[in-house]
Amino acid sequence: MVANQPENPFANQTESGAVTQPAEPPKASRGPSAINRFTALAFSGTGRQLFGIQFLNILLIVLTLGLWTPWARVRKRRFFYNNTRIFGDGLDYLATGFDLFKGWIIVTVVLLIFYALPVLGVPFLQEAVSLVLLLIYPWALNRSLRFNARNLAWRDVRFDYNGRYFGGLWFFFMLPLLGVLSLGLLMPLASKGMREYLAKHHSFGMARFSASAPLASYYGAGLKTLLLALFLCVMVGVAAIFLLGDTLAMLARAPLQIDDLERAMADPQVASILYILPIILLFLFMITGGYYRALTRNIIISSLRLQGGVRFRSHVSGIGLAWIVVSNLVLSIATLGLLMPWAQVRQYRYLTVNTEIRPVADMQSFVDRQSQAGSSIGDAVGEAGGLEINF
Amino acid sequence: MQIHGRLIPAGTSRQLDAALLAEDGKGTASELYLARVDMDDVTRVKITEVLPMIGGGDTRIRLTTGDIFAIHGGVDTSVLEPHYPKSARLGSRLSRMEMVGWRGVIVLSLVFFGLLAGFRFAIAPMGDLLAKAAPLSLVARGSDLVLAQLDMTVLDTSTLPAAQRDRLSAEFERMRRLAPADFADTKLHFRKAPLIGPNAFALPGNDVVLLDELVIFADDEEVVLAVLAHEFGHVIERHALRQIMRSAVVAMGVSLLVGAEESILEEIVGFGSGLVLSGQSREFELEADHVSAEWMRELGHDTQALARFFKRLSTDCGTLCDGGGLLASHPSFSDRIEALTSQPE
Repeated sequence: MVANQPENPFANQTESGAVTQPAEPPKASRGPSAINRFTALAFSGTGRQLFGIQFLNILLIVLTLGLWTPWARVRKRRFFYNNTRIFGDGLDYLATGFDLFKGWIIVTVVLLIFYALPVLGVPFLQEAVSLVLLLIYPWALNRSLRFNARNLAWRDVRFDYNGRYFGGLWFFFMLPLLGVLSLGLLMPLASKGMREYLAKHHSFGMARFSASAPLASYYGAGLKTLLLALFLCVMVGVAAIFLLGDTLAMLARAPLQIDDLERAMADPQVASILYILPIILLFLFMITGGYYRALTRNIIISSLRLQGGVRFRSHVSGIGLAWIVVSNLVLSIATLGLLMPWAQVRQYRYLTVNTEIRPVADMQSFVDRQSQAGSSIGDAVGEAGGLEINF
Repeated sequence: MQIHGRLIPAGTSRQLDAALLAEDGKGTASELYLARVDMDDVTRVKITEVLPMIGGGDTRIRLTTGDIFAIHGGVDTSVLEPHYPKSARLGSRLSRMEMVGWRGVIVLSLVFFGLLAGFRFAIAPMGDLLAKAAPLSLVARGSDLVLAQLDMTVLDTSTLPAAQRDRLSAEFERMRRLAPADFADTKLHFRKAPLIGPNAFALPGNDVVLLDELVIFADDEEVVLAVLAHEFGHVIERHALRQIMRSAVVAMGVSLLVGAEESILEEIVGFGSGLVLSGQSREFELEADHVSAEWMRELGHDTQALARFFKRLSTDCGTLCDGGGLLASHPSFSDRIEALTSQPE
């Protein structure tokens, strides 16, 4: 040992064979015990931490007249990923603000040209550019998904995404459009297609994800959501009859006269109901949307497999998620956005802790295989680049 | 000082206890040593890359050995900062600033509300300033384009009798003489639009469009003149352009303040700004009503024609379409009638 070098604080313990007790228990030791057992993911961030990030970001964005925006987005994403812990280790989000900035510049230039076309005297070109933008949208979406996947790593091994143009066009645009045009009848099919396409085209290191759940389970989720929507509509109807019994009875008399309508409108209760009707509909939509999202999330995650023997499970409660979404919205509006960070952390944490992972073999050796296969951060740092093109 | 963490040796995911040993309190980089639980000696290292802690997450450091040293979020890493590459120091300091206490939460909340209030009161002057700065030729060109697009989509050629058009044009010419010099070239365009119904509107340039449906519905040329004077009021006050510019200020401000959030916060602030814009639009309508009443008086016409028109609309339509409210772009008929009737004859 060189004379000026400090002493190794572990030296005595290693000689005596004693195990060091660091500030946190060694994470690697948790791997083997998790074999063939579902272990929940954890989230270690807090609302106050996100508050600091978000509101300092707002200040910096204002001071830099918006230039800080890409860096702000990166910091927020890093907060969520870094605090998402799988067997104790957080995910790493490796993109930099400058990476996002490049995509941002491209989008800004394209949109500036688009909006300047009429002033430049060629308004008809807007239609042509709209068509081109529509056609490149699936490509841009794939690029963004790939960018974000490749910039995400766990234990030094990157994720990746290799979706194709026509796959993106069909599963992210055409199929959901068919779902809407069929008045929701094909929506469960679209949900299955989109989620499974996303899953199958992601990989961790060299290991690919796969997912295949029966279509019936998606239709089951759709049916349950429909029943919930009907139940909520009946509840709203009953409440309306209870509150506006007399007015509704008057309106139900045939034939309806314009005077009746005017009298009904003059009723302050009816006027206030008309004001809050869109809000009630928004809440119904959010409740049923959150419920459907939770059920389909459970289906896709529980059917998700990672090549090499890793399984996943999700048991998010539909009503639980709907309640979180709606109460978060109320709290955020009531506090003009101040409680938003707590609301976001609350929802993210709920989703995270209700997600479980089950490796069939030692996770460490699994990660080693991926790392040695050439997918570690160090090997691919130059290729990460790419662009997030977000319109 | 010892910073304990986990070492992930290069090319493996094996994790072992380790510590970085650095001199404390100098603020300058001295030597940095790595101590591993599986080795007796310490190794002199340098830091090549850092993913600093953010919001309590882990700090990940790549060493010259290629190994990764991960430090748990709760550990104070400031002693390592002088060893970071320069590019990582700003991020690291920012991360520490972001870890606010409750006092910081209160201060940032107050600053945020201050920014929101500043933004709310800046919308009108900023928008008006931009409207003033806009080159007139560009505004006129934009106005022509809007009219051309409307002509291609919803507007048809007017079928009003030529004599009636001439009468209305002659009165419009008299109004032009009352207008300030910048607006002396304001044009009146006659159009028909069954899809829109009885209406008239002013474009951002010096253009007023009168629809046949309004003339037929009003069935009273004094009312039509009052409406034309109202639209001329919009022109001389540059309401359309100012509203466009104020909307642009809102869009830019909302995206600047909360656009990076990718959350519903953008919708909340956007909705609030929408309410402000609607309020300002209602003020514009009352201003234009005022101009209409003034000009009708100066030109020797019926100053109460507009109020009479609103009363008729209100009676025809009933309370169902009195209008007004926080979200409305126009005040309610009752408010407009009250404002017009309280104006001196």
